[in-house]
Amino acid sequence: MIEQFQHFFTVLWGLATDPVNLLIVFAASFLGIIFGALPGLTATLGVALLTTLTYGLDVNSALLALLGLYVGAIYGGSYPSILINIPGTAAAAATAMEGYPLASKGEGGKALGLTTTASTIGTLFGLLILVLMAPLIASVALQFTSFEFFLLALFGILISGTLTSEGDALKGWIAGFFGLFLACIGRDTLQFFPRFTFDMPQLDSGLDIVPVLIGAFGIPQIIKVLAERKKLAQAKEFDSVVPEFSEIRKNSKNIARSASIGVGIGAVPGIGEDIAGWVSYGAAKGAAKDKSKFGQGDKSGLIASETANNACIGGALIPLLTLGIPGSAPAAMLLGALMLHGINPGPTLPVEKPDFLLEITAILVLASVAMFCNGMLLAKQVVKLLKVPAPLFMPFVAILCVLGSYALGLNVFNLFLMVPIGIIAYWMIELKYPISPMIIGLILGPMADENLRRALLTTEGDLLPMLSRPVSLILILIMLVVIFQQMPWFKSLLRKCCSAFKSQPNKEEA
Amino acid sequence: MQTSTTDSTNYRREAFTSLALMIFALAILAESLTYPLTASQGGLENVWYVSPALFPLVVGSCILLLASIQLLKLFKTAKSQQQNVFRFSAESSYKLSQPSIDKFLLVLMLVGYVYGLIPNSDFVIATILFQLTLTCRFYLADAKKLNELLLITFCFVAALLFLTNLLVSFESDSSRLYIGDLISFPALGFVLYKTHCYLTANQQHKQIRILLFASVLLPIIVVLIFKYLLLVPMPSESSVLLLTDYFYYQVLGL
Amino acid sequence: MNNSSKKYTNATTLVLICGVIISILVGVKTISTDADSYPRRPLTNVVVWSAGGGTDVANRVISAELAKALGTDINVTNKPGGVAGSLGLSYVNQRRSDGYTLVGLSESCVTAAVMGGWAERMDTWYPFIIGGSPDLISVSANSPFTSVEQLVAYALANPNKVKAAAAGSGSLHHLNLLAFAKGTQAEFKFVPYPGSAPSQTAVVTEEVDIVITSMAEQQQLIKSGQLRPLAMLTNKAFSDDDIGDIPTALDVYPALKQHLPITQVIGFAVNADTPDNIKVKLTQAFDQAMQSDKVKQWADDNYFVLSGKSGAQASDVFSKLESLFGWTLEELGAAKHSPAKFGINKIDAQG
Repeated sequence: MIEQFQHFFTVLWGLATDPVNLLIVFAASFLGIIFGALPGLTATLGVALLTTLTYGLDVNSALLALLGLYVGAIYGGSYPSILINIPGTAAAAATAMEGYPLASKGEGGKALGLTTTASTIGTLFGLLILVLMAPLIASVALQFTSFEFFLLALFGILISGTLTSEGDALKGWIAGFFGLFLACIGRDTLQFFPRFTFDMPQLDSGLDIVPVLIGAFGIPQIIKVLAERKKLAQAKEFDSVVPEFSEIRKNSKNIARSASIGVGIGAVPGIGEDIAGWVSYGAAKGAAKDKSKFGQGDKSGLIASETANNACIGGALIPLLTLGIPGSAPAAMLLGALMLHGINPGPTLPVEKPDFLLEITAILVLASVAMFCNGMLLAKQVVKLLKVPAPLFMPFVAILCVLGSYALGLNVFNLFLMVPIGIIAYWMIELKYPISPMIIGLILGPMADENLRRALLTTEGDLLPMLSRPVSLILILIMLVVIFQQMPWFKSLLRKCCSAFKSQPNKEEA
Repeated sequence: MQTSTTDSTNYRREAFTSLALMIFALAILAESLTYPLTASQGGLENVWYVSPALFPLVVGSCILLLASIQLLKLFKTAKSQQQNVFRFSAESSYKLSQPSIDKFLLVLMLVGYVYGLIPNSDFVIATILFQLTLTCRFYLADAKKLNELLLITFCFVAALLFLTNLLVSFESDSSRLYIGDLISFPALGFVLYKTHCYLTANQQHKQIRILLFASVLLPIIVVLIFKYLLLVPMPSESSVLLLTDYFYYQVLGL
Repeated sequence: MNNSSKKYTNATTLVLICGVIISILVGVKTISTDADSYPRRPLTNVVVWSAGGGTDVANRVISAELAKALGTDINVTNKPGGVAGSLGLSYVNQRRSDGYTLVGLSESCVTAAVMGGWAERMDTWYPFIIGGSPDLISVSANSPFTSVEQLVAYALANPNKVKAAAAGSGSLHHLNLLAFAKGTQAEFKFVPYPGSAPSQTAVVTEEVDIVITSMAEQQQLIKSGQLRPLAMLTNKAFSDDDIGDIPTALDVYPALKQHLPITQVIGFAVNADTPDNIKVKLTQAFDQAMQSDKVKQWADDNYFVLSGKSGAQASDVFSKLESLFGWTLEELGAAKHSPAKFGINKIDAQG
């Protein structure tokens, strides 16, 4: 163990004292933040771009660039979420729920400072777990068969019900099911049968998430700011980006919980940053004593989603490095990049390259430090953007939205899709239907659909194995608790039980 | 009085949405029932639980159920507040306020930009045309005549491009885009010239500079950054972008 | 400001704008693609599958070497989606045939037409084949089957009881499974997964019993002892220091030779109507890239069998695959259009 630590610090020292490497990691992380901040340019696209550009570099420098960009991009998504309420990536959509109200109050700088700190802590926490528990978590990830994937998707969709901050839950559910319907569009992955495609080949592969996300969040915001003359968030003169450490300390429990959720979700192959933020946001809301502040700029909600989506990076690397299965879309791209450099991540990696895990950890530590520095420097400048008058700013945002929807798939059809989705979303917002459940439904719909049917296929229509498998049983129990928590009688029962437990020892003492 | 009017408008919109959702859900159900429920497909023996119709059926019925609950709830609250959901009276008729006109125009412009201009004309030209019209409308809201001119030109070009694409079949993408540029580029020149004339006539030199920067220079810079630094090809690359390609690769030799 | 100077500036603006417009429109027409000086700017390789997958990685490796040979850069982008990569295929097909846009594709792309993705056949391309990795049958380390004979005997005795994973419906691995079932007359229960990696994980978690994917994809799990290889689906047995010896199923069941092997084909292509001298330059560069140490080393590390076929030879491989895939899908009832509609003839011999 001590030897490993020594080796870790030698690697870290070696990397940190090389000026070329430092330059690479800072530049990559800066580029990553820009990528994350521009709507639609995602971590996946950024890693894909850098993979080609870093082909000629040696492994460590290439990884510094790639991981620096990955970490930066996940963090950078929070900028547009907070400042203009248009999440740059699905991962940062939950951040907008609390970040934008904060920015509207003139605390945009503070919100950015908090997310920077939370993201850094999240990344480091994810790393810690990566180093300490990688084999353990990998073995749990191997417990996930179709039934568990289905339950996990169902769980994510259920969570969306608890996220509806204003209005009634009914509308949240309708929006969620609408998202699930959108997810049905395209060829079904099991039998390749075209559903709701109306013979349009463009619809065969289903709807991309990015154009739907940008359409649903971006277009209503552009309409609201320009046509309804709604004010953008404002920059206050004396709004410091330096986070209050008392705020962080107050949220230490929240941070630990969110980071664990982030790592856990990141480790499960197939879902990643986009869902991690939502789940931990939901968990933070569930755990909060005063729920009324949520949606009005609650800092713990902001911290929860940002910590989780960055902690996800460490989580996503666990199955990648130990099983060779990428935990999220950018991690899949990273797998390709590693293979280009002659590294085959997988169960044999610890045998073939025993120090690789430590090297990656050192690189990630450096990447998160670079992200923190870049973030702190940038946050202050970015807030100033809000001083640009909205009539000049928003048309520019419209163009970024168009470019962003196009960039990932290079598909003009995505633009055709973005506009109607935006109009529907505007109508939904007018009638106080929440947008986020729709996005979650779209992300998790295919997973729920496909895995349920595959699970039933393997058991020949039998649902019982769901109850006999340990992980699925745990998931079912958690879900039952979530559902019952919505019901008043269960809450009062729970409270009675709690008070009974609490009062018992008191009596004995007396 | 004011609040009750908006309330009843809201109720009507809510009820309309719920009804539309129910019809939508029925459409989903009808469509999914045409999918193979038991026939074999894609090398899989088909039983109810592997049918591609399973999930859409569940989703459709849930939307139907939730939307009808929503509608019932609406009726209940409307009843308790003595509101008639389906009453159409003159006082609650929809009045066209400035924001709602703007909203409509904004959607119209987005539609024109995305469906008319982008697919059929060089991305730089399309974007400058869109950006100029949009920025001017909200930044120089007082310049009514100019805005009218810009909007009419924009809509005309977008509609013309859309129709040419619909009616004429081109042998290749590049010739279609070239024809599109022949329409949109002169229109852009005309609009820029008119804007310039209008603003110099009104002595608004500062506004010219800001407007030109925001709607001409900025899009060009962004496109160049995306194309050459981030290596994202543009949706439609024709005259302007081919020229920049020429300069970038052959003159500068990068 | 007096009237005349205002008019003057207005006129200048007008002249300027007109000048720019005319020069650009004329300029574009005169910038023709100069085939002799190819390549004068970077190439783009549009891979039709998503980033990080087998086709993507192989194309990135070859593109880097190809770029060296051509003396320019090659940007690799991904344009997945549609049916069997049809979005990327039609995107590149619509581009100018000037050799500056390549399409990175794999054997599954041959199904794009019959699956309704687009209406072109493979002869619209001038392909270059990098190679592919051979398919094999494996089971979980805890499985009772230790040889392919045991597996087939059990499957014959219990038809439709052995659950088999082989990526998605209509994929290369699925076709291998079908061919294996046909040749051994055993019946397997096919469970589709969205890709090779999830199929393999499903065997490790024992959700399904057997998996057919390629050696490149399985090597890690085999080396770490989580998968037990039963048999290759190739003509020759497999032997490697790290993995050991794996017999081929074709020796055990000679009837399989009618249907197998069906091997993976990864490569890239340009439009078929690209000028000949550009094709020649690309072919030379491709040959040079295939001979490079980096490509050879990469292929060795990843159990990838290099091919290096280009032009007519490569087209031949693709047209055989097109027929095989098209008609198999038609028999499965998964094809949207009959292969006959596109003039794809049914051929029996395997390539």
